[in-house]
Amino acid sequence: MRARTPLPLWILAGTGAVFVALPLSALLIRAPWGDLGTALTGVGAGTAFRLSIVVSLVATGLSLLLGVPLAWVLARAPIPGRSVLRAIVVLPVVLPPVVGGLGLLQALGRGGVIGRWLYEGLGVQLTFTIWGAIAATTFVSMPLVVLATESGLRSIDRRYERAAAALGASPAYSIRRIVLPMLAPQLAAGAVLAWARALGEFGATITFAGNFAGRTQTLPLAVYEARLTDPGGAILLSLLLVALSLGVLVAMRDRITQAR
Amino acid sequence: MGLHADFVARRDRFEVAIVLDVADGETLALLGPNGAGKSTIVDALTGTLELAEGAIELNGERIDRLPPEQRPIGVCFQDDLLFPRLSALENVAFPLRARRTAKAIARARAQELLTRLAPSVDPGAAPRSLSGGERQRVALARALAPEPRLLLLDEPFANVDVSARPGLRALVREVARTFGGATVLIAHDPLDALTLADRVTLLEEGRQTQTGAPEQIRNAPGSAYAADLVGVNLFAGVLEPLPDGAATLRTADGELTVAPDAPVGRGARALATLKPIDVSLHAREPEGSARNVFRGTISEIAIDGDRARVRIDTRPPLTAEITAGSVARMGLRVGVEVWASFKAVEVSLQIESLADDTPPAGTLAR
Repeated sequence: MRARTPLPLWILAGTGAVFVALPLSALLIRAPWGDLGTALTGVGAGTAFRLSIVVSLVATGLSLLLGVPLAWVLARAPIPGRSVLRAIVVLPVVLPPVVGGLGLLQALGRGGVIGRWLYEGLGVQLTFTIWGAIAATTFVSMPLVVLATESGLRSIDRRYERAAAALGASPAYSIRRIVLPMLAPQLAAGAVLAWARALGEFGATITFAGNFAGRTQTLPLAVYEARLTDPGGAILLSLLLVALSLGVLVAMRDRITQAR
Repeated sequence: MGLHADFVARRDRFEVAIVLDVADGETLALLGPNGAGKSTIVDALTGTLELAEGAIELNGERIDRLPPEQRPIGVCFQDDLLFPRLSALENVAFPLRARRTAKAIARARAQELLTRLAPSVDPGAAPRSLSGGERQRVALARALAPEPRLLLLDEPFANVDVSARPGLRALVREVARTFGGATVLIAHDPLDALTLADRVTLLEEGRQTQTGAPEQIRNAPGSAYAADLVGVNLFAGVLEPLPDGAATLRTADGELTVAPDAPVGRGARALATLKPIDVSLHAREPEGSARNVFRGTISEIAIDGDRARVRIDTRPPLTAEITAGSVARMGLRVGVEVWASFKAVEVSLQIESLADDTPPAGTLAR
């Protein structure tokens, strides 16, 4: 027998759906569609778009490069204080990004704890450069890779690794040929989530890397800046982000279905 | 040459102490209940568990300090553990590729092994798409790929359909004799141990309780546990169907009547087991429905508590288990003539090979 849905539930659910859909609809309604060409091909928008793609992809790559080994250690290595380490690593997911950006500034900024040595010793400056934007974005994205990979590692039957060792595989060979292929669905999910998060990154980037067109001004920053001077353009840029994010979510759904 | 292992291994609070000597070309079966320490021994041999004491030598060289990947051991795991993301061919090539054999050579060798051991398997197939028997054949090929000095078979028949077991068992027997090294078979099913091994070691709670030829252990089990497990009457022979659906099993030592649960072909080879407890002894020729009635002289009586195992020189020879009280009441002793009987349906039958032009039949239990 089908359960009847009570009327109050319908009303609340409808309100919720409208609340989420309304801003998106408003963007679609208020968008100056006539200016679409100029807004999206304009120098500023194109630069921001390219920068966003580069920064988010490099940050995703770095998140995988560092996040997967980190997840491995958290899942497998006999380390003391594992739960504390995990909490610290995952913190950026729940932390306000502006706090992360401030922390990055104090650590890696020109006068920061390590940044000072980088700047004075090596002449390397991260703030106000594309590398600053990448660092800030990686900071918020990597935990998502760590979380997805670690849960994947825990779900793998460890007897396969013991079998690989007994059959002559070194630990490194076993990871490359057996574990990583078995982890593929979780790695893909982690990478897509990290990329989506990277694409929308705003707070840490603007705090740590600043807002410089062509260097650190990614799409969200460009939207933020354009909203006063060129509201129509800001709306069109926003819709571009909406389209990209929606694409990621749809791709993500397929990934999850495949993983099952 | 072969395996010489004498060690103590501990996992959590459980301790296993064992001495194993297996010559090249020989098969030793480790037989024991769950929790007897079989998997601890497997892990100690493969190197995933460090020894607490002792040593493992293979062809006179110590291997117990080598990491798992450097030990010349081929392993066939319980649940086969074929790598799910690799094809059948890639699975077989894996141990070679892991040892840095060139890809083309590894694949050629893997292909050759697959053709020989698993001819029905498509080399490109995913393990998931194979049957239990096929998977275990691929696993056997994978174990043999690096030309190991020791073949370790960890309950290779556990997840194999009964109809695929005889073929796989014959394959294991042939491989163990011919691959050139020693074979250790971990077994849960006594029939596997008794029919495949040259020698059997019984394991109970981490200790070796008895080691000997299958025949020896079967006829003179050293404990009540061993008697229950392996102290069975075992007959190997050729079947001849009878008009009423039963069949005669002709063995080298005589004939008995069995009751297959599906038609069998004339000349099919079969293994049959009969529990001693199902054999009745009588002072006079028994009346009743039992189709197997034999007359013979008692050759041995072993009394263990209130149970007695009585061995009778019938054709074929039989072991009966009766109460110690019955021995006294019937005045049984060595040299006395008795009648032994059992029902055809008490014999459990396993068809090993089919006669010509008969439909495939599985295990015909009882």
